[in-house]
Amino acid sequence: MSTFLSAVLASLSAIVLENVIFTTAFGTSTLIELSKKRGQILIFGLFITEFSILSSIISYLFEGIMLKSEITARFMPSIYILSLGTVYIFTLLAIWFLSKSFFKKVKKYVHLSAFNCAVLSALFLGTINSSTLGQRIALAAQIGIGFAFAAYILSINYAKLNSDEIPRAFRGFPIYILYIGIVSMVIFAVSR
Amino acid sequence: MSERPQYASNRLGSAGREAILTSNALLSGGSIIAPAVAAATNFAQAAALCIVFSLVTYITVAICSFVPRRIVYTVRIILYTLVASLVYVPVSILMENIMPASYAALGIYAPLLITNSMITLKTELKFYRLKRGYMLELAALYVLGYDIALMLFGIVREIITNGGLLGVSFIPLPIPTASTVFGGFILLAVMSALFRWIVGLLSKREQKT
Repeated sequence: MSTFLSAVLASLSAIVLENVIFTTAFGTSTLIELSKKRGQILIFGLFITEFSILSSIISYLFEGIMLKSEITARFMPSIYILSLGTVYIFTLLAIWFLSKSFFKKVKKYVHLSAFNCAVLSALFLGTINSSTLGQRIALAAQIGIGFAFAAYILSINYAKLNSDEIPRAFRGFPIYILYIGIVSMVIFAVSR
Repeated sequence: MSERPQYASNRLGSAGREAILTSNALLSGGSIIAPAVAAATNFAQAAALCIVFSLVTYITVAICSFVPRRIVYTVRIILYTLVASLVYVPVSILMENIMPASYAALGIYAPLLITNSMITLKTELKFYRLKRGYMLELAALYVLGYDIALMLFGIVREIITNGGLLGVSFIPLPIPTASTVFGGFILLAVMSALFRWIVGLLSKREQKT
C-alpha cells in the first residue's frame, strides 16, 4: 500500500512540479486558444494524453532504423509528424464510428490537441533521453495529464481573468500569460 | 494609371499594420509563445530563433499553398506539418554552420517550430483564403511582425537579466530571474499589455485626425 501511495504521490508531484506548461512553456499557445472553448478543456487534456502516448509508441518503433545514420536521424521530426498524423486519423475515425454527434462537436479542433508543442515535445524528449518504451509512455502521460492540470488551473479563475476590473490593456492574452507566469513562479519556488 | 500602384501600396500598408501591430503573433495574439518564453533569453538566441522561424514558416506556407483545397483538412494539416519538418532539415544544417552556439542553446524549441500556429492555424483561417500573390506578401509581413516582436523581447530580456546588452553593462541592478520560464511569461505579459496600449493610442489618434 505504501508503495502504491508513494507512486501516486510521485506522479502527482511530477504533474505539478514538472508541469509541461508551467516549467517548459510547451503548449502554452494551445492552452490559451483552448481556454476560449471552456467546456471542452478537459477533453482536450485527454486527447493530448492519447496523442502523446500512442505517437510515442509508433515513433519508438521507427527510431532504431532512423537513428542508425546521421542523415536519416535528421528526418526524425518527419517520423514524429507521420506518427502523430496516423494517430490523428485513427482517432477521428474512432470518434466518427462511436458517436456522430460527438464527432461533429470536436472535429473542428481535435487537430489543436494533435499538432502542438506539448505533444511533439514528448516525442522529441523520448529520443533525446534515449528512454525505454515504458519511460516514454510515462513521460507522454505526464505531459498530457500535466496539460489537463494546467487547463484546470486556468479554468478555476476564468471568470476573474475575464472580469471588467482587469485594466483594458491587460484583458485577454496578457492577463492569461501573467497568471500562468505567477503560477509558474510559485512552482519554481516550491520545487527548489 | 497611377491608381493601381496607389491601391497596392494602401493594401500593403493595411496588411502591414494588421500583421505587425493589431494581429502580431507574439504580442497581440500570443499564438507562438513557448520558444519566446523559454528560449529567447538574450539577443543572440532571439536572433537564432527568428532565422529558424522565418525560414521554416515562410517556405512551408509558400510550398503548402499548392496543396489542393479539395484534399480533406485532416490530411492537409498533416501535409503542412510534414512539409515543415522537411524544410527544417536544411534550415538546421544552415544554423549549425552560421550560429552554432546560439542554435544549440535553443534546444528542442527550434524543431518544435514545425507545429507553430502560423503553419497549423493561420494558413487555413487566413492565408489560403487569399490570392497567392497577396497571401505571400501578407505571410512575409506576419513573419516579419513576429521577428520584430521577438527581437525586441530578446533585447529587453537580456538588458533586464544581465543589466546590459551584448556584454556592455549600463543598469546597476540586473534581475537574473528574468531569464527563467516564469520571468519570460511575466515579461511577455507586461510587454504585450504595453504594446496593446500603444497600438490603441495610435488608433485613437488616427481616428481623431
